[in-house]
Amino acid sequence: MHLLRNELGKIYDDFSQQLFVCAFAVTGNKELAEDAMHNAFCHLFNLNFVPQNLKAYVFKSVRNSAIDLIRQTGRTVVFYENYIFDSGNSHNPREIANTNQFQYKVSQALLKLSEDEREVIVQYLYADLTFREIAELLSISIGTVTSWYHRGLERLRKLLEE
Amino acid sequence: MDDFEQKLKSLKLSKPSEGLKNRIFSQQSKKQSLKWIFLKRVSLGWAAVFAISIGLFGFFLAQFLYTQRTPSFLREPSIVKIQIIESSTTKNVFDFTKTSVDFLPGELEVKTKSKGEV
Repeated sequence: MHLLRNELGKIYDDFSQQLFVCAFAVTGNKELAEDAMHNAFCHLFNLNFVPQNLKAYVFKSVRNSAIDLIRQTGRTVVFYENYIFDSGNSHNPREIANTNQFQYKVSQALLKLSEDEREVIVQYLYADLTFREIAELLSISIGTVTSWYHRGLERLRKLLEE
Repeated sequence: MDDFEQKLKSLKLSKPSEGLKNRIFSQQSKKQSLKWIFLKRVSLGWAAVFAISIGLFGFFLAQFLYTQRTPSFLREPSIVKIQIIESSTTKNVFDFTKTSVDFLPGELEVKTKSKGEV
């Protein structure tokens, strides 16, 4: 199982932010997203087998842990105003203001989408998953994923133009 | 991916805290070291023998600590010599017409009996 441990360490190093964003998209809360990652990895360390597609399996575990945590804590998801985004590290005040404003607009628009559309968009754009990987993760067909993505993207475009 | 998607993708994302990796991986190494204790499989018979032995040991230990001596039912009958160095009275203690609890200086032989014999 040391092999699995090393593989998981590598996956954490390569995809920690994407995994975090995936969990964050479900929990809407940083602390719960980190707890979800923690729980998922603890579960993965105890696996008695090595999954065929370990990366997809890790993403699925983190997402399931996030859903479990929401159910266990009985929390209503209250998303951050800035959703999954961080404040920029630019030194130019005008640039910071513009970025923050755009992030805020995108956050608000994302929160107006349906849960499915929002999750697919976040996973595709920010977790760098392919449509096939998202389909595996959500256990749905690729057609459904692409349909949700394009519908969500169009709604997002309109909401931002308003 | 069109311009709009590129613009969305360029936004800076929240990151997990610095300590999360340590929290996940260091905790796991501690768990791994103790894991074998809980994962070791033993037969039900051996587990029962072990539990009964622990129970008996605990019982005898408690009894010993409580009485500071061998449990009464394990004690062998024996003769104990008691030496009375100083009498508590000047009365004639060999006067058996009255009840007395006084003793003369000298030696007494006492035979102890196990609980069942009394």
